[in-house]
Parts: sequence; structure tokens; C-alpha cells
Amino acid sequence: MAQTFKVGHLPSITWNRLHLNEASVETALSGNLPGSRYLSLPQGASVRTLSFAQALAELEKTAPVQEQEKYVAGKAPVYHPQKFGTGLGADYEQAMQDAGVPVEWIEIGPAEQEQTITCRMTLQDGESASCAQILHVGENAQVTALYVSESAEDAAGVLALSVRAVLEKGASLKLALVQLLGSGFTALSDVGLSAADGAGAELIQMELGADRSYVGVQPELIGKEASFDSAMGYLANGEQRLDINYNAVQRGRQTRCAMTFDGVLGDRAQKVFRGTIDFRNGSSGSKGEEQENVLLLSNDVENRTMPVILCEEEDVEGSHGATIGRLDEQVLFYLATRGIDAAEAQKMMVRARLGAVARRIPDEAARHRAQDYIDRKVNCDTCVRAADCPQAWNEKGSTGEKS
Amino acid sequence: MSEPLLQIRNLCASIEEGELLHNINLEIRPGETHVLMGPNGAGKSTLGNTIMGSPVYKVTGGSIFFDGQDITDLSADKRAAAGLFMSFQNPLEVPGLSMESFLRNAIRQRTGKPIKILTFKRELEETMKLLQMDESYAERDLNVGFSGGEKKKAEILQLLMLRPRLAILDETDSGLDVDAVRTVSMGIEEYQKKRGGALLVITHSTRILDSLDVDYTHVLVRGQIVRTGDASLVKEINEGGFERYANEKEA
Ligand SMILES: Nc1ncnc2c1ncn2[C@@H]1O[C@H](COP(=O)(O)OP(=O)(O)O)[C@@H](O)[C@H]1O
Ligand SMILES: [Mg+2]
Repeated sequence: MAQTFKVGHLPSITWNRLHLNEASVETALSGNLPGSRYLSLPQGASVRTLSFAQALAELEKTAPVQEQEKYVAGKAPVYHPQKFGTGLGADYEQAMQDAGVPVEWIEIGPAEQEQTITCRMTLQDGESASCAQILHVGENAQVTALYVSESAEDAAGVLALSVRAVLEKGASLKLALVQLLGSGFTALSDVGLSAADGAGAELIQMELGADRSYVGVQPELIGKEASFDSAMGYLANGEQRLDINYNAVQRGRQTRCAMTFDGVLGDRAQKVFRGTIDFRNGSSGSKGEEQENVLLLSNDVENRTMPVILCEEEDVEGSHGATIGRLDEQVLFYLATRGIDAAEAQKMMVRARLGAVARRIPDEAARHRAQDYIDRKVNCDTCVRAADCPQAWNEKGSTGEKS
Repeated sequence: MSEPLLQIRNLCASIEEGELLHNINLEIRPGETHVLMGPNGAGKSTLGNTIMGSPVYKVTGGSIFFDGQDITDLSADKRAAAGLFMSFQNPLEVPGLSMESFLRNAIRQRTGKPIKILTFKRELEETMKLLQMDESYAERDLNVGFSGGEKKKAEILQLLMLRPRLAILDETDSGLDVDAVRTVSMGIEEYQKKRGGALLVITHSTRILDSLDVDYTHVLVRGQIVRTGDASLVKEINEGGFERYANEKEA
């Protein structure tokens, strides 16, 4: 049964007049895991399956101090309070809970070798599925976590994803979310992170498919010198709609946050981007930056952007930058004098821009799939492909499970 | 005498504000080297860009033939495919596109065939060596953050990799130090002598011409070719300046 809920709210209501404070989603969430899912965990990891309510109760212990929530900068109240913040927010959390989505709680401690979580979801046409995980990354542990969702090119369905990570002191997490779903999908992807002293998260997110797509990311840099570094890439054409909400909350002293967003919009695609850097009381000496680059391939796209920087501290440095526009005429002429026509130039630029993000995906097969997906979507018949790149997934997982 | 490779007849080109080129006539035969000189603002770059098919300039009269084909209305990429090339006075920066993948794409577009990666790599390496360019430039975004000299070297690298039949060099030597001019000249010499490529060299100086055999020199003043001569004209101009030619025509 379809329901409507709000996702991806701005932390303040500065932009209310534009009615873009949040997105409204109409869909039916399912309590089922994807029918075809490959999950591989590192050797020493443990996993428990909890109800959403149980998981939230346990998470609360790691939630930021409530008292601080009263002093949200921007002078507006947090109107969607959440104990452990995520980018899509409280309504989405509630919807998942109501749908009975189970939560997999994964504990990972430090280890000698690199530890990798791989979660690959292959959805069928008409399938509605959810996947919620909480990663508890122990002190000084180093973890890579990869989530890839795929389906047939023209398949339809719903995938609701939720990944929360609690990073203890000195922990580091490299998180990659790669969405390669078919053209009829509604894709929801929600991330919440908390980082203790010296902990660092790197996020690579690619939104390449689906019809409607909602992504939210909220890193909370709680400890001293905690950091967040993200690269997001998206490609939307046809009638695709994409809603992005990144909300970096910098609470600790000398925290660092750097977020880049590289996108391509074609045809009649619509995109809303909210990117907030929120310096809270106590975040002195912190730096935060966001940079958005959007390539517009048609005049009919709708590209809306709301960068917000909130400061409760004096001694912080926040910046945002944006380059948004069509391919430059002079550049097109330059490339043309080398024999490259406008259509090919456009494809090259799309591949170059998104390829730079795809290259950061920490898995060769996933990287290749993303690149391939881009090539297909820009219908690139002459693109060069690395001959020696494996087409097939590497199924070597220490505790791989196929469900 | 062989058929002309480039044949320009009574060419007029305009922008909204007015006509910039007036009745230009020019013929270049295969393998010939022509020098185009003229004061700043005379229309040299405009002529180069118009020959290449820049959408900025509208051809309002006359015609351009290349290799017997009327290219007056062809798009720039088709002119390039036919064998025309221009080294830009101000090469553009293309963020996100590495020089190597750009060159690979350009070669494939021109030939319509998949390229042999190993052969390509070897040729790229050798050519960069000839131009004293550091290997790392292959991986760098095209012209992004390159110095003036590096940009010009990258233009000549493209010239040598793309193997056109006629190359227009628009002030390739301007603003370069002596060493860089020497290196760039070596690349142009390679193109001219070893490959028999034809050239239209737009320049203010003689340094770049020292190592090239010049067949003809043209003087462009206020959008008109006012004088054509042989190689000795270059020297004459450098000693006497352009003024007398401008006056000559008006008188
Ligand atoms: N796109 C343009 N818009 C306006 N004026 C132009 C444009 N291109 C060239 N011009 C003008 O035409 C004249 C010739 O310019 P150009 O061809 O660049 O000269 P040159 O290369 O000989 O120094 C100059 O007066 C210049 O200002
Ligand atoms: Mg010029």
C-alpha cells in the first residue's frame, strides 16, 4: 500500500519559500530483503538481526548529546528530530519501521588485513525490497563497505536502503554506494554516520539509474579531528528525478569535511540538491567545504541547488562553490578542430566527469559496472574499454552468503 | 604544378558588428609553407578560425575548397576529418578529459577505426620525448594548469599525433622562451620535412622560421591581404614594419 512521507529535510527552514525544504515520496516500502542478495563479511565480523525498534534503541547510546539539538544554528528548530541522524530523516526511519524491515547489526573490530563488506543486490522486475544495516566499526578498525544495486535495464520496483555507521575512535570507513537500477525503479538510499575522535569516513556515491531517486547522507563529526570526505556522481536523463540531501554536522573541534557533487542532467531530468555544512557549538578550528559541478545537456532540465552553511562557532571555515552550465561553445569548437563532433564531445565529457567519481569505487568489478552503465546510458558506441577488466563479479568472500 | 590543397576565393567573414575579412584569396599546395604576418588586430586569427569553421565567424562571401571539396559550409569536425588542423593562439582548458584519452578519441574519430593501443602508446611516448614533455602530461587534464609553453607544446603534440595535411599555426611561438621555441620548432620541422605536411604559419617573429623552408609570405592588414611574396618578405617586414604595405594599398 502506497504511503506518502517526507525525506531529506534541510536542518533549517531558510529556503521555505521555494518549497524545497524536503522531498515528498509516495511509495510502498517492503519488509523483505532483496530476493537475490550476495553479502560478504570480513572474517572476524559478527552479525545480528534485530527489529528496527531494537536497533534504534541500541543506537541511541551512540547518538549525539540531545542538549545540543536545542541550539541548532539557522534559528529554526529541528522539526524532524531523530536520535541518530540520517540524511533522509525521521519519516523514512518510521516508514521502514512500519514496514517491518529487519536491521542487520554488524560488529567489526580492528584486524591486520583489510576488511571488506560487500552487499550486492540484484532486483527483479516488480520487486519491492529493503535492506537496512548498522555497521559498528571498532576503535582503529579499517573497513571498506560496498553496496551495489542492480536490475535489468527497464525493470521497475522499489529499493529502500539504509546504512548507518558508528565509527569509534580512530576508526576509518570507506563506504561506496552504487545505484545501477532499471528505469522504472524508485530508489531510496539513506546514510547516517557518527565519527568519534580521529575517526574518518570516505563516501563514494553513484546514482546512475532508477526513475525516482532519493538520497540522504548525514555525517555527524562528533569527536575531535573527525573527518568526512565524499564524492558523489549522478547521471539523470529522460524524465528522471533525483533528490539529494547531504547534511554534514560538525560538532567536534578541528573536524574536516569535504564534499563534492558531480552531476550530469539531460532531457527533462529534474534534480534538487541540498547540501548543508552545520558548524555546531564546540566545533572551533573546523573546516567544511562543498563543491557542486553540474553539466546540463539540455535546456529542459530542472536543476535546483541549495547550499547552506550554518555557523554557531566563530573560528570555523566553511565554503561552497558551484559550476553549473552547458558545455562551453569555445571548448566544443576546440574539440571539433580535432575531429570530435558535438555529440561525441558531450559523451566524452560525461564519461570524463562521472568516470572520475567511478574510479574511486573501491572494487574493480563494481567500478567496471558503473563505467559500463554510464557508457550504455550515454549510448557510447566507440568508448574505450579496458580489455583486461573482469566483467564478472569476484565472488571470493570469506563468509559469503547467497540468499 | 600540383593541385592546390587549400583554395580560398574572395572570402569575406563577418561578426554581428561588421565584416572582419575582405576578399581574401589564398592558395596552398601540398607540402608548401606559407607565412601570414600582420599587425595586431589585422584579422590573422579570424582567418585561421574561419578556415577551421569556427561558428563565431559567418562567411558572407566567397568560398573555401580543401582537396577539391567545397568545405565552406562544413562543420569544424568534418574539416578536421578532411585533414585540416589548427594550433590555437590560446588553447582551451578541458577539465575532466585527460590528454591521452582525448588523443585516443580524436584519432579514432578521424580514422573511424579502433586504435592499436600499444602502437598508440609508443608513438605518444616518442612524440612527447621529442617535444621534451614530461610523461605525466599524458595523464593530466588537457591544458588544465599548463603553462603557456606547455600548452603550445601540447598543440604540436596533437599536430604530430593527428597527422593532418594542412596545419594552421596561430602564434605558436608567441610568449615562449628561446628553449621552448627551439623545441616547438623541432616538432614543426618534423611535421614539415619528414611528413610533407603543409603549413600556414601565423607569426610575429623569425625565430620559428629559422628551421623551416618558407615558400610564400602574406601580409594581412585590416582584414585584407595587401602583399604576397617569397621568404625574403619576412626579413623585409621585420626591418621595415607593416606600415608601408598598409599605405601602399590605400594610396
Ligand atoms: N569574436 C569577436 N568579436 C568581436 N570582435 C572580434 C572577434 N574576433 C575578432 N574580432 C576583432 O577583429 C579584429 C581581428 O582580430 P584577430 O583576428 O584576433 O586579429 P589578429 O589575430 O590579427 O591579431 C580585431 O579588431 C578584433 O577585435
Ligand atoms: Mg591573433
